Amino acid sequence: MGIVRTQDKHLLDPAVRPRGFGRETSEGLRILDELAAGYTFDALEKLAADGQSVIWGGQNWDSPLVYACDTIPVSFEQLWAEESRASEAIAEDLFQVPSEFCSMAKAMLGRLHVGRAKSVKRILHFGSGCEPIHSILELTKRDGYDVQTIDTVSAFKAQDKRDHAIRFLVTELERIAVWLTGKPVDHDRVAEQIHLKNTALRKVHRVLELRSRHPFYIAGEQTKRIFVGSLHQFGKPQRFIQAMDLLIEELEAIDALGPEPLTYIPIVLAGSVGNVKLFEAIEESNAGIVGWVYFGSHPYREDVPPLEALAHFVLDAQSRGDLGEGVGSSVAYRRNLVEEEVRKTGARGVISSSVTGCPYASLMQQLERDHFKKVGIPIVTLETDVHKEPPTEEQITRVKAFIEMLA
Amino acid sequence: MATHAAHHAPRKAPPSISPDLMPIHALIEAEQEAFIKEEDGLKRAGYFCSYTPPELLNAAGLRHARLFKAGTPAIVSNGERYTQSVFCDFSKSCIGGFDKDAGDPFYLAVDKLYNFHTCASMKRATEVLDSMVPTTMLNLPRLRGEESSRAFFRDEIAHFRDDVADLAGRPVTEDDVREQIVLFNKARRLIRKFSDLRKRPKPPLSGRDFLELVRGFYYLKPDALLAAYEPLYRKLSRSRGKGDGRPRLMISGSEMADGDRRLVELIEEDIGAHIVAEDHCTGLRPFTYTVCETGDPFRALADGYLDQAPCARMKPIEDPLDFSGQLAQEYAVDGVVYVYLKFCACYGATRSAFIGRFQELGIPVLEISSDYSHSDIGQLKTRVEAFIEVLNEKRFDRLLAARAAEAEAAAD
Ligand code: SF4
Ligand code: SF4
Repeated sequence: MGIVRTQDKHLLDPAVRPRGFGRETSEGLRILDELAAGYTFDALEKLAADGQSVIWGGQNWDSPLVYACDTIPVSFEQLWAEESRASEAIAEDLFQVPSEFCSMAKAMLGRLHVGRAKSVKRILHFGSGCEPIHSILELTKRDGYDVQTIDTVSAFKAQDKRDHAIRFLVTELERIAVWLTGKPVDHDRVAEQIHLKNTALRKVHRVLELRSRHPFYIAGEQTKRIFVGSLHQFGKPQRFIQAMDLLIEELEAIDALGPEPLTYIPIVLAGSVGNVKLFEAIEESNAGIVGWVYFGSHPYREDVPPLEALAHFVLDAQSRGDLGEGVGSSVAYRRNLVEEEVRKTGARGVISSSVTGCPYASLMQQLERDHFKKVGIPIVTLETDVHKEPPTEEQITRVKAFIEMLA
Repeated sequence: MATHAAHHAPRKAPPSISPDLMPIHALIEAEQEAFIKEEDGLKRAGYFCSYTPPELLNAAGLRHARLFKAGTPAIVSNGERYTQSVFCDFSKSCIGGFDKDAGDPFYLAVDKLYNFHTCASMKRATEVLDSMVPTTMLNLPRLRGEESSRAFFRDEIAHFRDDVADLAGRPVTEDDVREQIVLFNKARRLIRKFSDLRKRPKPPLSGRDFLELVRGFYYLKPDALLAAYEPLYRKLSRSRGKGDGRPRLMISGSEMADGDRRLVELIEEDIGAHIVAEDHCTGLRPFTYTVCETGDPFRALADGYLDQAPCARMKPIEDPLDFSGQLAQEYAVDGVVYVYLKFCACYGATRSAFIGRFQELGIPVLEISSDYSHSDIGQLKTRVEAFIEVLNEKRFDRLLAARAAEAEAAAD
């Protein structure tokens, strides 16, 4: 409610409103930051120690099922949020994972090893994801983790969504519900959770739509948080929805004043940049991220039984190139989403980002490079690892040079 | 003895296989030539992985082959244009082989490519290939112990049948499939019998020869294969073998592509040890099972292929570990050479588990991380030689201990 509270017309006027206005005063962003701060390895471990059912994983397309089973899913991202260098070293030294593998998989293995005596000992994992994660999760069983895999099912192309794949995923999800609670799945509760998540997703969609016209109102790092929250709502769906409502109110108030003058270079970001400094470099170069392809905000179907809705959701995401490698998304299609975003927003170029050493993302980026070259859309590709270290001078220079070129 | 020049040009190299195998080698080469050139009106189908049932391709009357060549440096680097450096050289070869200007003519003759989703790298490679060649991808479950996963795989196999029938332009009945199951079982059984010959103290065929037989399985039609292999089996089974006293080795790990023979040649020809078993998907591993010949043929194929010796991508990892350990014991190997292609998550990231298992069983292991660059051949030779030396010392110690025990028993 920051905007309304000020009652200051000038602050609402985009011509005079200082950039970054929203970041300091927005109540929606404050709640978002508070949610993220409470969703950490340590905070969730405490909940688990107090008897709450908490698992690693299950925070993505499957989160409505997990919530319906009274369980909090902790995003795998938390495994490299801290001590990632030390964790990576454990994976290489103790588990002998060859150094050529990505920092993400290695950090996960090392961090799970460090936390082996903690209370969160169950891991839910979707089998269509990347191979390194499969391999390291098999190794974590040696540290006493109970790893459940939803078997590998993919719709490789849109026309490949086969009925028997939906049926199979439904039985897989029924099995997971029994693993989580010891009881058969409560379909009504899953339906409720789907409805709740759809509410959140629609709001996220609206926030992103408004943000595309006011790209400086929510900083890059916080926007990333909204995307991440769209998956699991940081374990607190209602509070997340409240944050989105506030942001919509704030952004609509600005939007009502009419279009902002285009004083910046509009760009689309594909994936996410690993470090806040890179976001800063983008903005310092006077570029605004007007379109962002990270996790989509498509809703779940509510016209089919709830477990089927989950199955359709993930298979559709795969063949759309959405939700990334975690769900085994096709590498061939993200470029369509990016191109659509460029056309919709009038962006002048694309920054495509991936994790260093991630085979899947590197292939996708090459397809994007080829494609955008063909259709005449400038693109720069970046690689960052999962360590929260400042980007290299070379990376910053590349970003700045790219944006300068677009200008 | 293989020359260094041969190592640098594996495709063009004169085959370092025994004269007994030369007729089979010639058959394979002729079939590859015909696959490319013969105007027979038949569609060509290619597939990558040993979890693909060729029974169905054959039932549809397609000309088919497993695409598992180790690419030349030029082909690998074509593939690398897409993958950058972070894929294994096999997946790069698969992409590079389809490059319309500089690919492999054998790959370019393929009308349709099939790939069961084995490892994620091959899935990604196939997604790229989809824009170069018509492609169908199919699911392959990992939880082979779960009934629902097996039923799902059965449905994927039935879908595969529909797809190949469509490609061939003719129906494929259940009876057609059953007939092929019987035929392929015969071929698999025969190859297994060849491998059993290697259990003898003096194996009548080398590891290099065995790989050639396996190669035939993936290129030749089963009836042609049986006609050529049966007389050879009779001959080899009567042979007394040679090279007694050499250490017996098993190769375990990532697939060893057609043409990737430098390690095998180094071990058998340059250094002089026997390779008597392979726990990889281009050696003995895919031949250790039989498909049920009665009942629903799609279910039989699903069960058969899931029950086959598991690749490391299967769950739980204990299954492939158990299989590997048992195979090493069954073939009474003195040591294991564990080879994984760089960037292979299936065998690279889990190497500690495999190596640990062999060590638990008291079997010495040499670990090698490899690619198709041939740049490290000198270093490789030194490491393998040192390993064989250790094995020889151990064997010698065992021999001495046995003699001493015998002498002691005689004195009593
Ligand atoms: S970065 Fe890529 S390879 Fe690594 S864990 Fe993530 S998706 Fe898998
Ligand atoms: S060698 Fe490993 S990474 Fe390469 S295709 Fe085989 S399983 Fe996949």
